[in-house]
Amino acid sequence: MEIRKRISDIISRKRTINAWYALVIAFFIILVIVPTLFVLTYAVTGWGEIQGQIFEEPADPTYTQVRVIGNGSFVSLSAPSIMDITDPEHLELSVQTNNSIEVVYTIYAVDGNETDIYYSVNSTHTQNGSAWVNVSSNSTHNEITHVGDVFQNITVLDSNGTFLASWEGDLHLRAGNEKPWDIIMDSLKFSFTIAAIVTVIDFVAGLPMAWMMVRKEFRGKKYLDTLIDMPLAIPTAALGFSTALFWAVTPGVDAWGSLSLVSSPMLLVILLHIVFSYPYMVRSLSAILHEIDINYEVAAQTLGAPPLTVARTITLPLFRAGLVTGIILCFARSLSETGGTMAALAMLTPYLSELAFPMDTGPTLIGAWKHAGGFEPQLAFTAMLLVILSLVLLVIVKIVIMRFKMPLRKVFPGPERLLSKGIFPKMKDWGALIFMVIILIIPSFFIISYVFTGDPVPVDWSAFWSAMGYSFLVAGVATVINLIFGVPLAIYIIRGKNHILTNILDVLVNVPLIVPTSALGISLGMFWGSMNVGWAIILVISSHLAFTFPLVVRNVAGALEELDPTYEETARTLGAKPMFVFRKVMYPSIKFSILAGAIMAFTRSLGETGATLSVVKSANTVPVYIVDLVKDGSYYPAALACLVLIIITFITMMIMGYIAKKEA
Amino acid sequence: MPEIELRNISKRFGKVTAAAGINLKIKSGEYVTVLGPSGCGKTTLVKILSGIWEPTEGDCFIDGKKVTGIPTYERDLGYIFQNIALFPHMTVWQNANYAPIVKDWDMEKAEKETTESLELVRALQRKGFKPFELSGGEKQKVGIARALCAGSKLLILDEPLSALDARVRLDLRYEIKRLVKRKGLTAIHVTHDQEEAMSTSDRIVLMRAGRIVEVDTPENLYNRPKNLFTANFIGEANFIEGSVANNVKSAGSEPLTCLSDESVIETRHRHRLVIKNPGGAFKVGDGVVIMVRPENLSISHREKDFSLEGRILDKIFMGSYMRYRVKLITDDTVLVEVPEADDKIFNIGDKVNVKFRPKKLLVYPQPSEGLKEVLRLE
Amino acid sequence: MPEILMKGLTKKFGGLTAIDSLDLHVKDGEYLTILGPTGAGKTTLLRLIAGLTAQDSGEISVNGKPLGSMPPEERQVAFLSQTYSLFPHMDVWKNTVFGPVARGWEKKKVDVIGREMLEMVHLYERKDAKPGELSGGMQQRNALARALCADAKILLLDEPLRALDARLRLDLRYELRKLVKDMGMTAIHVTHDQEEALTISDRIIMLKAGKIIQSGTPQEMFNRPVSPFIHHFIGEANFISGRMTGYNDGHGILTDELGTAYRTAGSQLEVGSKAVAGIKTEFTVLEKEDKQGVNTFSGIVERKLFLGRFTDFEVILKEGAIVHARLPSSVAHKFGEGDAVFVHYSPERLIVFPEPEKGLKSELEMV
Repeated sequence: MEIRKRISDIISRKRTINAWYALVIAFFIILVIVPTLFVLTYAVTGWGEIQGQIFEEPADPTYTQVRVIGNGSFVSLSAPSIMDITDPEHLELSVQTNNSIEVVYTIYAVDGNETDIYYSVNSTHTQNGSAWVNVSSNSTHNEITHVGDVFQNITVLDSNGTFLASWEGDLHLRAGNEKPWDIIMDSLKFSFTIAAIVTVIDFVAGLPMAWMMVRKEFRGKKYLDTLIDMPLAIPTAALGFSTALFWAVTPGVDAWGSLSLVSSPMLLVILLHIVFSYPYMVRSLSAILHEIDINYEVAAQTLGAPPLTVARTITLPLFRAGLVTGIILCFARSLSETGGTMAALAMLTPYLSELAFPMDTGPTLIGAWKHAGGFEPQLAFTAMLLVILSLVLLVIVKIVIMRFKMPLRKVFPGPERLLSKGIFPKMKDWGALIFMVIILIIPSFFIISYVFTGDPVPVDWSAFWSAMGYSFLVAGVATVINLIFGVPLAIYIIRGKNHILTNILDVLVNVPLIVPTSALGISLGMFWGSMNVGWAIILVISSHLAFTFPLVVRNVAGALEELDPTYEETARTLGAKPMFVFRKVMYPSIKFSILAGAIMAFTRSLGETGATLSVVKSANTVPVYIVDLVKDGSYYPAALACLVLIIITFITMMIMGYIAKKEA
Repeated sequence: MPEIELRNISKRFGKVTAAAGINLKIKSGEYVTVLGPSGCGKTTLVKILSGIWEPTEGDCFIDGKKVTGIPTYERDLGYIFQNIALFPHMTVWQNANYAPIVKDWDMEKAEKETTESLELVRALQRKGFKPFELSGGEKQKVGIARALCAGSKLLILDEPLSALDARVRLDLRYEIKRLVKRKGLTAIHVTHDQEEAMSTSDRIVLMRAGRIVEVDTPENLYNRPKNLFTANFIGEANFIEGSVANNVKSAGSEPLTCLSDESVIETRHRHRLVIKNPGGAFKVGDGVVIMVRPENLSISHREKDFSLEGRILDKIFMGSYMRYRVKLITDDTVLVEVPEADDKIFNIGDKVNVKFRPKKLLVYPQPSEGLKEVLRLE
Repeated sequence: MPEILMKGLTKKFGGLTAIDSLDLHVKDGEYLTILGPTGAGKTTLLRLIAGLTAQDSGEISVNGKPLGSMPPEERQVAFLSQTYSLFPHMDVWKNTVFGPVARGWEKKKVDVIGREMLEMVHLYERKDAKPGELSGGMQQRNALARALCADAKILLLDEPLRALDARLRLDLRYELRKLVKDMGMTAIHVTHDQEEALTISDRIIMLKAGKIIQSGTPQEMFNRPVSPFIHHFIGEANFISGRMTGYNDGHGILTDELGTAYRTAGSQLEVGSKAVAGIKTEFTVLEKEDKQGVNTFSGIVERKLFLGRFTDFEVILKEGAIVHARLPSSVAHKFGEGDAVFVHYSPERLIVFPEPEKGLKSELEMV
């Protein structure tokens, strides 16, 4: 008893508390903020390389000529040192011949660990024509050529299989006819276009839904509420796979109910991104709607304004803050998403043979390059751009929305009165509902249909379970550390006395939320790499720590803001020391928010692909495992893995919820 | 000019009944206050009347027209809110001008109406201000101007003064009454403050637990309440329990205040009080409750007629008068209010005689659920 | 035994001075009310005493011991917010014994004192109820028991009756004072309701813009206000502006712009100086005929408002001035709206003040 009192005395001392806060803030700065933004330093330290590899025109390829004359055939093969690829299955080697020939070649993946060998099938040619080498997959390798792969050996045979000529050397494959600069720009453009479209759709479809959730009472509202959040609990890799199964044209993959409608990569990615960003939009909008005193709307109605006019002239203008949050969250989520996009695009690839090189978003490009190895300047540069652009965008969105003037003073009594009545409001509500079911819910869970109606294939479970263990370890450790440091930081941000510092921290906390996770991963990798931290798992954990940290802090800070400080003050005047006040007064009121933060952090970590892929070259988390399976075309195992992952995630959430209820 | 009728209005929220079978008629140009403790259903009533909520049962009529099902924005009324609810993103002018604009009046008429309303509440010079720049009282004045601008003859005031400081409240309630009467509006005012109700209204509707207890003018409710709850809620009152001893006419019913023979009530510990207006059908032996207002009692050191002995427990300065809390020999504690001039004469602990003037006592039958339950305020 | 002494207490928020070098002595067992309009610094003062806000300068001492920057938990000062801040997740019992448990007292001792305090406020049988299930009055009693249990000697009440219904307030303010007195605590009660202040306090402090402008018993505050503001804030008053034109057997003579002379209460003002005289509406008399001759003016009853015990009259005098009078309802029936009446000011009740610096109107503003 005596010792406990002594301890409580010591930890309640002002100096101890201040030291603790200092530690927490230091943790936040050193482990979260600095690593997240560390990539920006590369602009200084790696400028030369960036310039050399990204901005400069590529050197003209030097050609090696091989000439063979004999057996009545004439072959002239000229191989450049660098080859531009616009279609991974369609490489162009200039072969001049007067006879039918066959070309055999070997391609090494650039890291040299894995050898992918593709054999050409017969290429027949007209005399004295040019030959094309068509790269197609053999039975064991499904993979197409990648930017960065190297040709090492090309042999030309005649139609009888007689050796004609061979060439040895390094022939680097380069994407399209593009410089890295163009590749990066294309992918970023793709990313930002998608994010913008997704955000607009989210807003248009999310507003009526948020309105319904906050302002209306109806049966089943509780269930609808849960339903909206469902996609958040599903790892995005699984979502991407599931959504693609539902929407995309996927020849040879059959599932009951599959629409097979979408063949455009952009449309597919948009459909996918809506699924997981829509809940963020609805949540942000409903949060702010909750805050807007309904009496403003009622007042406007008593003054003769029909509901639509009220919404436009009263609610929307009061709404801006929520709009900013919603837009930024959606935009950032879409910009950041890696695993799901990879899985979805991979599903579409077999169908896209005659299309150009598969489109990459910023994050998938980072993932691909990181996976390929090397490319350090390109990666750093892309990550840098992503970080800067997303932060700049945050500021712009905020300014634009807060400044934007709504046409308040104009009223259109006739049309607005008409649209406020009869079937229009009903259409709006049903529209929102139908949108949610078709765009969100069915695609999210479509994988179930595939698992039950697709053709079963035996699955290697040991790889899955080891990935699962890895994922849980990472998510668990990251969540626990987040709680230890995130809760005190939230308390400091809301209750701290130094308002300048708390405001700065408040803004900084959002940074890892806005920076795309793959950029964050590159940044973190560089930071810890520069510190010589060897263990991959530590890198993975620290990256997951960084992007889930804001989730815990935001949740707890939100709850604390609501909590009337007079409770704590009253407790103090009744003789309670700060630690006692926290345990007995503050904690009981915010524990659900702590739990909510923990669940969000845990599930986000479990579902994250981008950060994992970009921080280390190969980390075997479940989403990575799933993406790999999808890329390999092993759809059925991938689907089973997804389903198990979804079930485990839900069970975990339910257990955590149950524990919380029991506590209460 | 609007006439209001509520016909058999009930409102239930799940198992909770907020209003049960309310019938009420309000004449054109009348200022009616709906008064009652928190949760009595008074706000429910005006929310139903204004169409913010729909009744579970019953109908509202405005000017004889059934308005059930008609949305708020088509009901043509002005509504003043407890939390004022000025649109925070608009200036004072834009707030007041809102109704004319959404009602699509022509510019000239809208300008004129808005200017007039703001002038009426003396807020025109503040027209460029945003709500956060105004004090509480000023905000509510603009709130009133905004409601007046809607051009309606029916004004609903939903606890318009509750959010304001005590002193501001006093000033504003006169302002409101003045405006309503000047513009010839029909007003329905909801409040829990009995003094506010009395000072503003032509009639008060007293509610409790979803039902109307009594409807009457302020004077009648204060001086001749028909109900014990009314007596206690509208101004403070003393209650003494007893039973009828003799001399009561066995026949006749209401009103209680009609002059009649003297009768005698026996209180606790067998003390007696004489009553001059028993009314009602009381039989000898019936349990009754006597009600008397503190200002209708007086105290004296000497023994007088119609008085009971007691000891002063407490003495409170009330400005122009003193209030004494006296424990009677009947074990009842009563409040006695006397003009301040007598300040020094009586002190705590003094033995005094409390005089009960027979004409100022009202008698009620002993309530079956017990006096305490009937008087309960929360 | 607690006695609080404040010396030169100052607190600024940015450029705003909330408390301005304030000196105050609160006696042991006193029930002190701090009265003032919104923004006067009332709540800030309570927070300074409780240690929830640190003063910029000045010192607070309890029983002669300076508190310095002592944390709130060591001050034995219980702070009760408007809503009493009963912890919503704890039942009545846990709320009550919060202080002793927080201090780590022995369980036996905690049980004894908790029970004692709850019985004192008649809440022991409700000890398992959550605060949400209690009525306003019970919550108030629970909060008091909790403060006392925590060994608090000083009670700080921040508008404790504001959240209640008007009628209930009348009953509970009596009950509140009685409990505080029975418990022998020193209480500082903040309110903006002058009637509440009058009826509940031993002494009232009038605060305006962070400064004490008057301190005294309810009688003193009501009958001998030191400024027109207080005269009008504690009870309502009618005012006349003019100049002092002389003195006559203890009475002053004030002449207004129109040349009308008023007999006023005595004052120290120099003859010729600008002055304001005010009389409470309660002491403004209405008469059917001019009996007094002095300070009597004829007018018409413009409006009559029944308040229950009192009836308020608004009379428009011949010269156009508006006068308010508050009469007991028992005599109010003599005057109806539109009646010609005489308004009489008793000279003793017509208190004279020097003309306020910024004029009468701004002096009377409630902000």
